[in-house]
Amino acid sequence: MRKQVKYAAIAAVVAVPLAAAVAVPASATGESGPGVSSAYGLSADGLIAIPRLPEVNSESHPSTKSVVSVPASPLVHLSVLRTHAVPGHADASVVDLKIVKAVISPDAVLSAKLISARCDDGAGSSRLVDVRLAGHAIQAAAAPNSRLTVPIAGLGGVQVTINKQVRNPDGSTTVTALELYVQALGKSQTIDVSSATCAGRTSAEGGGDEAPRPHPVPSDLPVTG
Amino acid sequence: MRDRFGLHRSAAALALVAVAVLAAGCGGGKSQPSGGKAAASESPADGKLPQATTFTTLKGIPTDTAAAADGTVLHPTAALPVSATPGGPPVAVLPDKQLGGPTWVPVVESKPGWQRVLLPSRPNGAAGWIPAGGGKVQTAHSSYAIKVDTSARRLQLLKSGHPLGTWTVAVGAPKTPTPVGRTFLLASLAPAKATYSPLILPVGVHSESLDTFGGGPGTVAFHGWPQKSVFGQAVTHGCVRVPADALEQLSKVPLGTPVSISS
Repeated sequence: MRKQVKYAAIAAVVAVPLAAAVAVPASATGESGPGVSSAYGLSADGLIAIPRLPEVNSESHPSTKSVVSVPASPLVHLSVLRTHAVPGHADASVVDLKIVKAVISPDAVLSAKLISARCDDGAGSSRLVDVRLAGHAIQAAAAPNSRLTVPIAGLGGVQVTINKQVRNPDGSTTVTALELYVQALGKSQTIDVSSATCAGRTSAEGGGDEAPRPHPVPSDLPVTG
Repeated sequence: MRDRFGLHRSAAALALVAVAVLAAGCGGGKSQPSGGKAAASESPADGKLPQATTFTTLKGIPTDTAAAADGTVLHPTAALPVSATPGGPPVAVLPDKQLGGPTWVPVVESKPGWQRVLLPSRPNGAAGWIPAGGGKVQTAHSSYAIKVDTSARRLQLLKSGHPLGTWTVAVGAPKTPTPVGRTFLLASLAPAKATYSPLILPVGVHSESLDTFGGGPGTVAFHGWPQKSVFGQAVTHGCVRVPADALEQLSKVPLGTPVSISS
């Protein structure tokens, strides 16, 4: 029988400073301009470092990327990691993810059948299927910025943020389906799984103003008179 | 004496003398817009994507499905990739300028993150998908519409669905007909030598019987004509010759405005 972990949504007043401490919004990295959507499937920072993988944005081609392994990270296993970004939309998903031992602690294992994040016109959502951390089941459907702490012997607790949603300075939204944070031996480790950033409809393009009256260009074109 | 566009009556008289020249090429202009390459069939041998302009023929681009449009027009503030399908690989590039002026194209279909626009290249009706956002698109609305009935030889200008004016015009001759279909107002040109019209208003379609004409790519346009007797006749090489007051009204219509040509 699964051991259910009781978690509680943390008030924004508490969550915001914590979130700011453990992760950098995508837009703050300078990688995305206003109105640009972006996504990545996996990222780790700390003792274990994994660059955003595979990162896409709405100004790059292709707009969809997939990987089936994490290079130089033998502790991370997955079936497929897919990201997609077009203007106004981004999504990321990881299938059959397993992070084994040592990455978080010798006893901690994160496993998931599916962790996905989706962002549409500035609105984020997450989906978790059969996610377990050190044997504890993580609730699938969670309100934005739901947090819980999973106790792990010797570490004092791994902080988990589910459906993390951050409003970036440029008005875009970043949703990260699952974020882990642990501090041990004076070192911090964060792992982001499935993150998507997109701009809201109102912040993207100009409105429906009347198109301008043309100014004739001093030029000629031989047409079919 | 000048008319509303500053065309001297004497110049109109000179135009009469130039009829033989006009018959050979109503554009009459020898200048080629910078970057233009007449009737170029773009084959990106150098690996670059072809530009969607009136001078090019695009391959792999589907044609207009005549989906209902709402008057949305779009100006790329930088060159944009054009795909045959939403999210598909780019097959062309829509530059931010056409014939020296800003590019404005009508939106004829939308899907999340993508907009389908009419393109000014051959084949007629070419319509491709461009990314809807990314900070490189300015959208606006044109409340105007232009309708041409080649059988009735009539042009109607509407604003918000209400007719602003209807004029009898000259259209393509039987062997060089004005192509039918949906297109858009591409540019507004003021030739340095107004041989037959002070203003040339090219649209997004080309003659289907003339691959080139007068040194140009066979672009169809609205323009004036010094002889009023042509109005009501099917005598042109595809262009639509309009009376001076129609040209003045059309000069106010935003670029990208839909043009519907029927027979």
